[in-house]
Amino acid sequence: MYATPVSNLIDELSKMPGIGPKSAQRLAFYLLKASQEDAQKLAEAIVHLKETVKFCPVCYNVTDEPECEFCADTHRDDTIICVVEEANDIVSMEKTGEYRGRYHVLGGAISPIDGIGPDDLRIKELLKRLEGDEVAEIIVATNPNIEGEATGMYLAKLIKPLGVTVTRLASGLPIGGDLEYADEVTLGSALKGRREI
Amino acid sequence: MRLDRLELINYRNYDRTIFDFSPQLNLIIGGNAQGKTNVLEAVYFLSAGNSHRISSASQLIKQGEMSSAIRSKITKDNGPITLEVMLSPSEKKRVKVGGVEKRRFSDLLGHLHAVIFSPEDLQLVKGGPERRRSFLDDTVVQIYPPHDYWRRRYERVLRQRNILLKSRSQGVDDGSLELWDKNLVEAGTKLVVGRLTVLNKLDKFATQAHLQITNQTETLRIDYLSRVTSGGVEGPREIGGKFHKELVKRRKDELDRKITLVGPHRDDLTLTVNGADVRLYGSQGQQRTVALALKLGQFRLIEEEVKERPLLLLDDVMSELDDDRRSFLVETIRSGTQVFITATTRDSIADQHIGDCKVIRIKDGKLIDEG
Ligand SMILES: Nc1ncnc2c1ncn2[C@@H]1O[C@H](COP(=O)(O)OP(=O)(O)OP(=O)(O)O)[C@@H](O)[C@H]1O
Ligand SMILES: [Mg+2]
Ligand SMILES: [Zn+2]
Repeated sequence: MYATPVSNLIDELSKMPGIGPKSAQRLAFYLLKASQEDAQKLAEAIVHLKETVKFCPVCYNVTDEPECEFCADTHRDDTIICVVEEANDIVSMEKTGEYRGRYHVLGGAISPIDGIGPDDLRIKELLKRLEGDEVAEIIVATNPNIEGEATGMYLAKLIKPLGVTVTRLASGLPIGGDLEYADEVTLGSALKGRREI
Repeated sequence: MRLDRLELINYRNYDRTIFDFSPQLNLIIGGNAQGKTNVLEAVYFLSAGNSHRISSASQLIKQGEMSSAIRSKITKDNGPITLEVMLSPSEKKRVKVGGVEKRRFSDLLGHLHAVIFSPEDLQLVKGGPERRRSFLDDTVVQIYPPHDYWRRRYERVLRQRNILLKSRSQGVDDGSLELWDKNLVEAGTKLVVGRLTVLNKLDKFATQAHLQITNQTETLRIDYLSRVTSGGVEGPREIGGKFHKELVKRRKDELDRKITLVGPHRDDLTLTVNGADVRLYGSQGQQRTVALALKLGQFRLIEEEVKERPLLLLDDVMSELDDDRRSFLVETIRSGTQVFITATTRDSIADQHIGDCKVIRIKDGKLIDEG
């Protein structure tokens, strides 16, 4: 239907979350009309992002340092790890000002609909961090939806036999919502009222 | 309650049309395929959050357009309110209540109440169980909006679980199914409890209406048919317990057949008239009467629960009903109800049924001025 460069771009854009074929088409034609300079800037920003920002080798947060700031900080509590789905959930947890432990980013939640099983998440990497005896508690702070809860149950089944306490944020989070929408106060009290799974 | 103004933008066959309605009777007149049902559908959408005809909102957007909107001005007992819905194929449905954008689309629910009568109502009686389940769930949602959350949550867990079952090799239990059971049971129990609570009252109103339509000769009875409850006085604890037990019992079957076999997605309503299942044994006329009684029951139930008259949307039904049933319908709704009736010609509605009314003529998605 379109010249190959255009349809290539549409294909690539429509791989992104929340972008359907129609939106991809609209974006592609916007870029076609954009100035050479603007298009160049966008392309460079993407390349620069991929070249400089990496996953932290310990917790899989995004970082442009060898280790992310939360892993590098020597004042944080090593006995407790908060497990989140995505790196931006760390920002929500930090805003509460209540948490001083470490983090682990799973990279998603178990969801058969999306073809994501436990092996697609960074669970092996989490287990590795539990090998010493240092960690006493895992806080599961996955989203309060069914996928987040199924992931929590899976982790509890796996980790409890290792003698590590597994807790979940207290309910009271917005029903069916995402962590990123929860305000600091709600999230803070959910953290204080966490319960064992 | 009443709908004062409706604005359709890129909705179905409408570009941009504003309707100003009478607080009483509105007659929407036009030839076939001109957009009569589309108007009622839009009104119903504001009350239910979905169409009475289809499940995917993207079909509601005018072909060739990127987005569509329904805007409305409503007057309720406690004052005026505006509702606005925005649809787009690539994004989630959005809603504004009183001009303020809400985070959840379900915040639309509970503001406007409407009951729609259409020729398809007969399928409530003749059609498959999913028709009756949707009818019941839609009724619950109108008087108890949180039911919508549990309904969608249940559908989501069910889909996750079924896709998981399909992807497993047959008969092997690796424990992954169990991860979804707790939420399946929790949401499923909420669904069943909501349905039973409402059915209890709906049954009373529908049976009453049915007795009246049949001159006290036929008794309608509605029962909830389920594997997870006997429908009696069981509370959430018993229902949840039974549900879970049944799941465990059928696990092997589920793994073999690769589908979720237990839960409210398999429940049904049985409709009996004078002791016989009307779906199997009823005459066409009896089935119509039951469908009408169910809808009238829904109307009265909503009225009693929300303490305001719902809007009444009558799509093509005036020509379908015989004189008795038509008079009965008109009788029950006469005073204080805002009614919307569609018909192909003005004449198809006998004058004695009408009285004061506003006639709205439409052609090809546009209003035609009375000339
Ligand atoms: N998404 C859409 N975009 C454009 N037109 C649409 C869309 N969906 C439906 N239509 C058009 O709307 C018209 C049907 O409207 P509607 O169902 O309201 O008809 P009606 O007036 O109720 O007719 P009838 O008397 O046959 O029931 C058809 O012409 C159909 O092509
Ligand atoms: Mg129609
Ligand atoms: Zn790190």
